[in-house]
Amino acid sequence: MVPILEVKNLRTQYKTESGLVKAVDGVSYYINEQEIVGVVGESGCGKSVTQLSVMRLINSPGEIVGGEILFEGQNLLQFKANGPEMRRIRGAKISMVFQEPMTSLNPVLTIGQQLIEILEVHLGMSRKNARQRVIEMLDLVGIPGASSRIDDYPHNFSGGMRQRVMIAMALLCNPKLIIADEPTTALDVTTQAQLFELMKSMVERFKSSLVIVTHNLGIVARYAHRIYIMYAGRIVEEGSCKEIFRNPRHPYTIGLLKSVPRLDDQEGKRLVPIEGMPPDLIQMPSTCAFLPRCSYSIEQCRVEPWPELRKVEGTKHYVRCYLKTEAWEQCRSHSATT
Amino acid sequence: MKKLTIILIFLLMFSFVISGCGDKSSQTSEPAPSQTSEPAPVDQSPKPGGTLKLFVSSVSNIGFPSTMGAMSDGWVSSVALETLFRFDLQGNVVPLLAKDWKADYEAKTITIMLNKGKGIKFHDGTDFNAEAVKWNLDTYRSSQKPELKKVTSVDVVDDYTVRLNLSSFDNSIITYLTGNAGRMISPTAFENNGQEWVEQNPVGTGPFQFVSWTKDVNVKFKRFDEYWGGKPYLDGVEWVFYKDQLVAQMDILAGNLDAMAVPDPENMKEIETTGKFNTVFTNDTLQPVLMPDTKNTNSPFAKLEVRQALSYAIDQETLAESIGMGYFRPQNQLAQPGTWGYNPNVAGYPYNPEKAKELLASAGYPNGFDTTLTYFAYNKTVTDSVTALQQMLKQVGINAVQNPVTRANYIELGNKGWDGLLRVHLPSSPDPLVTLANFSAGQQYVSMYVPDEFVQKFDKAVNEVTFEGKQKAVQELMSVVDKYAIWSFLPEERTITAKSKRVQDDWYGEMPNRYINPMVWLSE
Amino acid sequence: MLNYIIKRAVLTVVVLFIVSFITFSLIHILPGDPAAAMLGDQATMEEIEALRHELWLDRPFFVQYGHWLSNALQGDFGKSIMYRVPVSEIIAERLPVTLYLSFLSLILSTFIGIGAGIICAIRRGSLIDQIVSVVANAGVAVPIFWLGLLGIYVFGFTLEWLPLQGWTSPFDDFLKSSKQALMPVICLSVTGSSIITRQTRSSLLEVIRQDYIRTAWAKGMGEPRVVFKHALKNALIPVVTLVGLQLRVLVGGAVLTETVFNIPGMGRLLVDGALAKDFLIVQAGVLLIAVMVSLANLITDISHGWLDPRIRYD
Ligand SMILES: Nc1ncnc2c1ncn2[C@@H]1O[C@H](COP(=O)(O)OP(=O)(O)O)[C@@H](O)[C@H]1O
Ligand SMILES: [Mg+2]
Repeated sequence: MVPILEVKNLRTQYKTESGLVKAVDGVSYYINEQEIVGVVGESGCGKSVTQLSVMRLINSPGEIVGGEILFEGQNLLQFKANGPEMRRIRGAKISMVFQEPMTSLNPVLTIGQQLIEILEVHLGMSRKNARQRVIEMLDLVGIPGASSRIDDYPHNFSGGMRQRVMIAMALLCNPKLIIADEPTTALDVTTQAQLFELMKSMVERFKSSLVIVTHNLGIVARYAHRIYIMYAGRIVEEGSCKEIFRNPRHPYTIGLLKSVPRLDDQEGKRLVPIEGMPPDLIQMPSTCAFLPRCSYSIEQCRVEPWPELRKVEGTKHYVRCYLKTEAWEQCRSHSATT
Repeated sequence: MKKLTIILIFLLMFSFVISGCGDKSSQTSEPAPSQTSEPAPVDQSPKPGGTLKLFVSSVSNIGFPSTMGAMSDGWVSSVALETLFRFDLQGNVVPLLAKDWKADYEAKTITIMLNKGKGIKFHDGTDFNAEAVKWNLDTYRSSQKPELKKVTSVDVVDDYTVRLNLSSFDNSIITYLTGNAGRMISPTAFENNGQEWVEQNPVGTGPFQFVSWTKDVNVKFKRFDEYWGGKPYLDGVEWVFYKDQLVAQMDILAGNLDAMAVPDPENMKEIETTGKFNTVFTNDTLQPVLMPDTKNTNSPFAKLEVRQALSYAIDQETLAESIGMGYFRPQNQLAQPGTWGYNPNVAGYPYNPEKAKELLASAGYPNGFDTTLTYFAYNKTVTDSVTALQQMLKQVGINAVQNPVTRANYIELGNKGWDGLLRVHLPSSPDPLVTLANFSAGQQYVSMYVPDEFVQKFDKAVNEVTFEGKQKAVQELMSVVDKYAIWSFLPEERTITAKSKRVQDDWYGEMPNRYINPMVWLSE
Repeated sequence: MLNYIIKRAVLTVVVLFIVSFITFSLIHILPGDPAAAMLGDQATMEEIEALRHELWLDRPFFVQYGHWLSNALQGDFGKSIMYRVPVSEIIAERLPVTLYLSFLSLILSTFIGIGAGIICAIRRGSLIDQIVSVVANAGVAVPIFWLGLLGIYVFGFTLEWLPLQGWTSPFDDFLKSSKQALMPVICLSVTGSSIITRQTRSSLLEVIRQDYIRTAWAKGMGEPRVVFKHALKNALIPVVTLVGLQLRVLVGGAVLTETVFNIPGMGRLLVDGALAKDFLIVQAGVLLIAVMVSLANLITDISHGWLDPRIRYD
């Protein structure tokens, strides 16, 4: 199967006053058709920058300095950021649902004004038809009274409803790929679940692929087919959802798992956040970036550079760690007892 | 480089104008005699056509003499509203609408004979005759204006003769008839339209007829073809309003304006360097003096020595040269040199700081004293000269604190009283009796003590019937002012007028009251 | 909305009342006697007293104010001391002049300001942005009278492209009127355009960083649509306030431009009136300005409501 999106060795940097921030530093991943993929990591690890790079929405002082972004066989990096080719892809073939439902919609334009134009621009639809289509779509994503609410302004909607609007917006042109960057972070748990169910059913219905970006591993457990774990601008582990949850191989992933509520948790079990701070992306050591926070490090970790992403023998599981099988067995059991 | 300098100078001056932004209507004050720079004779015969454009800063009433305020009201109206008499260059009163006059001291009457047979008509076609004169004089008398107070009644002797009956004889009456008191308007126009209309629509006998007055833009007059003195050459006269002197100055340099009074000598120098303009002076002028609060017996100025010291302390030559740039003249009496009232024997108080100090010491002020110098800065020159003056007074120990006031305030102080020194700009007439009339009667400048001898000499002067008698009395009066050092003179601020060389036979800016020769013409 | 306008109107009336009282007091506190000022340097006491009586100046302050107020309420603003014609007549002559020039310069400065602001914001850091920013900073600081004189000197006097000064009604001679109005309008617009340029630039830059602009890009919209449909309306909210404020700036500017360019407008009238202590003119003029400022505020508020749906008036 040919992946719909393939990112190879992507590197994106920000030139700031305090130095060069290597926000994304050699990230490679792929998304298959109709696949739901989770990208998980603590905040600040480069998830959003990765997705924005794919959309070519990186603004100064940021810059994509290397890599390839292959979408439908074309390298998106060959296009001008706001050139006609990218504009034809954005919103039509790849669309995005952003993190902040409060600020991601234009406060001075009605929902209709913000949605109808997508159909007009990408599909050349007449305003009247476009409006009809938008109403249908709003209806589909579960906005009651869509035909009148279309003329309301964003501030007339609750956070959850706004995110439904964003989802409707993303679906309008029946895109190949939807990127949802922490779409539910600001919302309450019930709404979060509703929205994920909605997105899942929608991508199934429209036969799209979906990237769910989140810092909460628990959230993707039910929806993602595959998961990428990111740390300090790199991918540190990749595997199927099951694998990641059953056999996490990177101490960081294990840490993440410990810090989220799991469905099989006993009552009253305490969540343990990972100790320490994520590294400074300006002065990265050549050794493993997680080393300072890792309680299982071995001598090799301290002297040798951070290993590349390596396949674990006999699995479809990739990890970026020197620890041997016994070691992670031990570290997982250790985690179970604490 | 030169242009840049000009711009810079303009801007600099403009900032002063803005900062000192006072009422400018009084800066373009009086005329006075001028023997200097006569227009270069043009060997051409008069050419008809053209419009004479003249600068004016503001007017409020150009048609009804009884309520005219600022001088400019009279000047602007004068091309349409003629007076019974006018001044000549030496300050003598000569006939204009009238033909002659006769005074009778015993009978206390003045008889005025009009131009018979000339068929003088007002612009509205009505006749100018004795009835009209009577109506005008009576109207003026019934107003608040003081000039004709001594006229008790006006008799129509015949169609072309009127007789003024006086409560007491006063030869200044004739002089007053050169001004607004003698300005004639059509009684019919008044009767038909009322005062408000007449104030805005002058209807007289003059060489030019009123066309329009756009407030703060211009007042336009056109030629009156039936003018009794002959058909004028010009098509018309236009007075153009300017709020800002510098803008007017650029306009005259650009050729959009024919003549303007230039209050600032520095600006005049600038205009003169172009060589395109004539510089002329009038014979009635602004005479700045320092009036002391002599009525207050506690004031140092109550002592003659102190007043004399004050006069000795003022270096008029330097002020005239540095601030007046040579356009101003030192003076020691009200009458102008070259006019009939001038007394050549008045010595004045030539600059002598040592003597001033001695006098102060003998008056009991060996260490000087503190006082206030109140003034109204009608232009930048005033501010400069007051500052220079302050330094001069300091030299002899008189510490004068500057007290700048607004125009309204200045007038009020003059009428109600002040402390220390008040810088008064006397808008003097070629007839000093006119200038002195108000305060000899104690109506103006009330803080200043007027000696009895002055009042007696003044009364004697106004009672003279013959010209020679009046001349002698006025000259004596000049000595009295000098003797008592009633006030201290500052250099005379002659009104300088810049005039385009194309303007011929106009007399504008030379004749008192800004009188314009009806037969003025333009050479191009 | 209607309620809101009524509330504003009532408030305006109260403000007008206060303004009229304060102006009246101020004029009366200032030293100098309007009657004396008007009659000239040689007026006698009797003359002055007679005029004072005619103008009610010899009566107690509150009587004077009451007299003025009751007349004003009946639409009679009295007869100008300076001009001897009814104040309403003079204002009817002057106001259109100032309104015409102010209106032109308001439009000019708004268009130039917003246009230049947009160009600077979307070409941020470019040469044109740097040039415009320097010019705009200078424009805010440049004294209007200085600029006016410079303009007169360069374009009127030296190059002779434009008349030096003066005013002609556009209905009398449109070409001449426009030539004469050009420099005054530009002078009046300089400060405004500069302020509006700076405000538009900074608020557009601020808006461009917002999430919803990123959303617009992410939808595949082109730059014109992003800037004009999505960013500008948001960015204009603070600009509209500024444009409203410009009216007040214009009143100040009118005083200077009308002096420099010798234009018979309200600004000059007010200054002349104040200097001559023609309190009837000043009273009426100040009231009129207060009304216009209130009106401008109302229009500004209504435009805000139109630009920003989150604002509601009740
Ligand atoms: N506009 C920016 N300027 C400078 N640095 C940035 C900018 N945006 C992102 N970064 C850097 O990139 C890193 C990754 O950011 P991001 O991808 O937003 O993290 P997250 O994983 O929480 O989405 C951040 O730690 C930050 O230092
Ligand atoms: Mg993020």
